[in-house]
Amino acid sequence: MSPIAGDQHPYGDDAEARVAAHLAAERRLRADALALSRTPFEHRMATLRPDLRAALASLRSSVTDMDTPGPRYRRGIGFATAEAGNGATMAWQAASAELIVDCETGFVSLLRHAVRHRLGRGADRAMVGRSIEAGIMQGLGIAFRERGGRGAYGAAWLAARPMPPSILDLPATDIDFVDDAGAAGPGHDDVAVSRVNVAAAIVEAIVSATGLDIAPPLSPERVLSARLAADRDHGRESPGGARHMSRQFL
Amino acid sequence: MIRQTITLSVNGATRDVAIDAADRLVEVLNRDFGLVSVRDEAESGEVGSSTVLLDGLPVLAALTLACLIDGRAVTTAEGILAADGGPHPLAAAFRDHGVAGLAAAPGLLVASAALLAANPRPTVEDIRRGLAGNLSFESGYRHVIAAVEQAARHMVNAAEVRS
Repeated sequence: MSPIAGDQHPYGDDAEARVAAHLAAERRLRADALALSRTPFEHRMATLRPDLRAALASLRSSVTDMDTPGPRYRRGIGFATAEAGNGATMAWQAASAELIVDCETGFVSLLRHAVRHRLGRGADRAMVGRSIEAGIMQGLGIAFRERGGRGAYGAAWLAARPMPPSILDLPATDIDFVDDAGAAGPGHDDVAVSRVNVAAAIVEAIVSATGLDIAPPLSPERVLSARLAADRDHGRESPGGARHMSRQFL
Repeated sequence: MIRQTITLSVNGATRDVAIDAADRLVEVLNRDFGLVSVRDEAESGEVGSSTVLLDGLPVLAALTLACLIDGRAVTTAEGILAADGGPHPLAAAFRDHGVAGLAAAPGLLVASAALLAANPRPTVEDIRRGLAGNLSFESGYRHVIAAVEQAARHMVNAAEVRS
């Protein structure tokens, strides 16, 4: 079963709680997979509905085979799926993220990002595509950008919202629709599932790269401190202990 | 509060305005000139919605003290025009690519116009660097890049026809 992400507006007042709920569902899925001796990807494939499974398989097949720049880097691939609302609209999204983590600095480079959406029949595909891209951008903001949390200056509405990435942060993005008149959507909320789901795919990719489950924002400081804490827990000296974190999930 | 009078040329029209010494340019443009395209969304200049041209160069009106720019020329999105005084090709390109409806559009328009004035044939990388200060909460950026490329092509073609 895929986490339910519809009607979630991470840019609303309860943004943090909604993102946390989605990430917790992904964490449960990972634990279930482990209990069944499956990788998270295998577990997803075994439990998802057929059309979503096909989309996930298509994302998996499009993953590039790339090398890391050196031994201090870890490559990660993450997948996440979300079904909209209570399932009534039958809309869903599958997302993948490919990234590289620099274990020495905690810096994360997002290399490629892909989503597949089932939205019903889009009357204006270009516009729906832009909305999905906006969801991806906001998802990247949730995943990587610090919250406002301002004190003396800055607009109040920014305080609870992650800033979106700038045009310089734009990763290679692959968006595709599964056009299907059988779906009753799309509604705006259905498109908006991409916000939380994109962030979840990135968190999953970090887990795949490092074995560490780190809550967003995935700033270099937070990734590095999580890595150092894991090293301490394992009695390893830093920074040479990065090697143990590699964990193959695919 | 210290009051003073400054002279500003805004979109080609020169006017004296009485301001407080602490007034930022965005407040003067909104209040005294009625130009609502210049927005102070982040109150800290972070999202680029207050981008204007000051003597042809892009600045953030939210971070510019009005008392420091006495006698200078300001251009807002309303004043971005083609060389012949007609609509700027960016306006049509923004409309064609769905950029025009974004809250970030005025700032993007001004920043793009400054970019094309300095570099008529920008590469994608040039466009990315030129628009890096303008964040959009409600869209990605691929169609913004496409719109600026379209306007650049149009302007280069028009210049070749003229010559």
